[in-house]
Amino acid sequence: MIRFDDVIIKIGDFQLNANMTIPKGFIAVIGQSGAGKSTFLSSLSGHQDIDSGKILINDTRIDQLPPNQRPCSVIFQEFNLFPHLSIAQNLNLVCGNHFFVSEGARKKIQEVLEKVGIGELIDRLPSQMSGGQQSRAALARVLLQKNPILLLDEPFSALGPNQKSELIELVYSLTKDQGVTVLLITHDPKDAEQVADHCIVVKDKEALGPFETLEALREDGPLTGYL
Amino acid sequence: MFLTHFSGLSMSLTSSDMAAIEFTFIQAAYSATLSTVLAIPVAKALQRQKFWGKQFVVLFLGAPFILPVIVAVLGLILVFGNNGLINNFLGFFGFDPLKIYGFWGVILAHVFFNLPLAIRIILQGLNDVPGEKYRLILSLKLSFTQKFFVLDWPVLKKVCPSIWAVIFAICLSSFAVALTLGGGPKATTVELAIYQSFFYDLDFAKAAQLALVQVFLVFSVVVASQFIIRPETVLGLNIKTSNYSHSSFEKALDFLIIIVTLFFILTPILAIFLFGFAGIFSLPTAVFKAASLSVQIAILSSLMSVFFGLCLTTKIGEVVGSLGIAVSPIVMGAGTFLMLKNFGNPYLLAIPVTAIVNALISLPFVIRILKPPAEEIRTEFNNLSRAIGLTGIYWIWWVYLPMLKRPIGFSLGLAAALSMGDLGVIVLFGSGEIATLPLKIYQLMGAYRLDEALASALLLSLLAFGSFAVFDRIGRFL
Repeated sequence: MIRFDDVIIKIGDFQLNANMTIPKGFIAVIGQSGAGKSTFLSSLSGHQDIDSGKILINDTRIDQLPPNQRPCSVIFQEFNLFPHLSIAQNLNLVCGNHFFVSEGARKKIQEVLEKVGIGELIDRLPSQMSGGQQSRAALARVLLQKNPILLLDEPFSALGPNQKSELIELVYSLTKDQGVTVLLITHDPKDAEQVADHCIVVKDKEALGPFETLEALREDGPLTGYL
Repeated sequence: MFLTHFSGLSMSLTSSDMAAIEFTFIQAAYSATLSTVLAIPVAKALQRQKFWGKQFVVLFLGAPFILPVIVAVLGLILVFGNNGLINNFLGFFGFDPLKIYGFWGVILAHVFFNLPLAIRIILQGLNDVPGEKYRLILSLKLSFTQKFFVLDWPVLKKVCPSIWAVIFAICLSSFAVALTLGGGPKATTVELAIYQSFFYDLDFAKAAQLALVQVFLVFSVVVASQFIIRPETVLGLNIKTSNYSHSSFEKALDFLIIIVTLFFILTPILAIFLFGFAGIFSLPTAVFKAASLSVQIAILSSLMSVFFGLCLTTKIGEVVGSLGIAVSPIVMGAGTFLMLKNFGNPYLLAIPVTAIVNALISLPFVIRILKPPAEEIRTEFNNLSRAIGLTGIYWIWWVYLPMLKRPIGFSLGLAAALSMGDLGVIVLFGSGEIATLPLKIYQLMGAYRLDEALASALLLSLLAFGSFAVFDRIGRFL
């Protein structure tokens, strides 16, 4: 359970308020460009400091912890993989601090790559892979991190609609039985409709919800004017 | 007079000291003005003419930067000296010979070193003019003068003062040129006066006073230049336009300018290769010993310089690292010598001191190479690194060093080449026993063993360019 207690985030003239409790499951974060969706997610991942309020996960305050000490994994819109490292080396970075890829780590990496469907690409550089394959590699990395919260900051926005839908489905299938809470930022209500149990709507300087997806997508629901 | 009580030190500047200060300023002003003014037509010619090998011409313009000063001076003597190519040519037609030693020799050498720098910066400025502007000019059918004022003048107005300031600052503390081509009451710079007080008069107090004057002079210029140098980015849609048409006269003039410039820059270098080649296989062992010492110092100083550079790739770091420009090798060397003198024999520490000073001298260039890509890495991969907890030594191992390997290789090469050619601090600390290759060449020149000096100069050039190429290649292919 994630709780935002009277959280206020200020960036220059921009301000975002959030006061909500987010249940476990697949949550879509939806709103217009510039509304503050990424800021909202970054406050949870620790990449954005909050100005007041508290963020708690299972009643433990986490808003003062650095990103790597929070139980969250993130896939960003871009720069998810280091371009000069092979996929094995990229994924090895979350297998503990080592100067080389050990045999044990390589085996674990191979297994998780098989799960996301790119087992044969373990020694490729990101530049030798398609956008979809890179997204799968990033997904493999967060699976290795084994955190209970997965934050997806529009990671598939550069892909075509079919590929995007396929990857969202893959995330859903890989996380649904693991008790992982997924927060997916999207512009597209169809993505929410596809997999989300709940939606958080970010508009008018405020993160609202969570709403049940069907309720959020109703014509007179909180997304009125956006749909 | 202000300097008289500067920092509480009692200063007594004699008339010869004042003459040295005056000469330092005048030669720097002449050198900066000539280099900047002469660079304008060359840069313009290079910008508007397209020809096969243009990129090599621009590349060759970078050669004087890593060419050891003593080698360039020897090359210039071969071309412009008493028995040089030009004077032989002039003598054939009954003209008076040119004089390479003294005021004009110093200016000639400074123009040789700094003209290419000025050309490259002006060329960059001219190339940054958005293509849309050229397209507009084409449609307006303007005259030559109108085109100059609309297209070139805004660039020159912005770029030239800063180039002038940079070259002026470089020439204020260019010791090796003054040492080899200057000297005497009419052509002594402050740095040369420091060296003379140190080496010939053994007047360390006077050397310290003059070092303070030198620091004050250069520091004032560096501070003043901050008000002149205003970098600005010209933004456009990056539309590439083919060259607008030129008259055949313009074309011929441009090519003449480019050929004369290449002749001026490449002839001294080629002369060294031509005249030095014969003697390179029969050089005395002492020269190879000096070369070996130069290589060792170059490796040590380039590693130190890049290490410091990697630690200083921030805004504050750049300011700290740039202090090396204000404090020249001679001043640093003199200061270190005086400090060490109180604790023991400074000559025993010639090698580490030379390596450290050389590292600090190349540090501003190294930081300028490393800082932009380092900042880019930090900006682009900060979120990812923080998200996966990749910090400290592991971040340096997996991200910082491998992503910077190309600029690191280039920096190592540049720092090694600059160190290899340095004839600064070693003249204070060196001796008959401990001599780097540039010092050895200077000693051979002083002993009128010109053939050996030329062959050694060729060896030094090969080592300087070779070390640059090797490190650069390592950075590319590692």
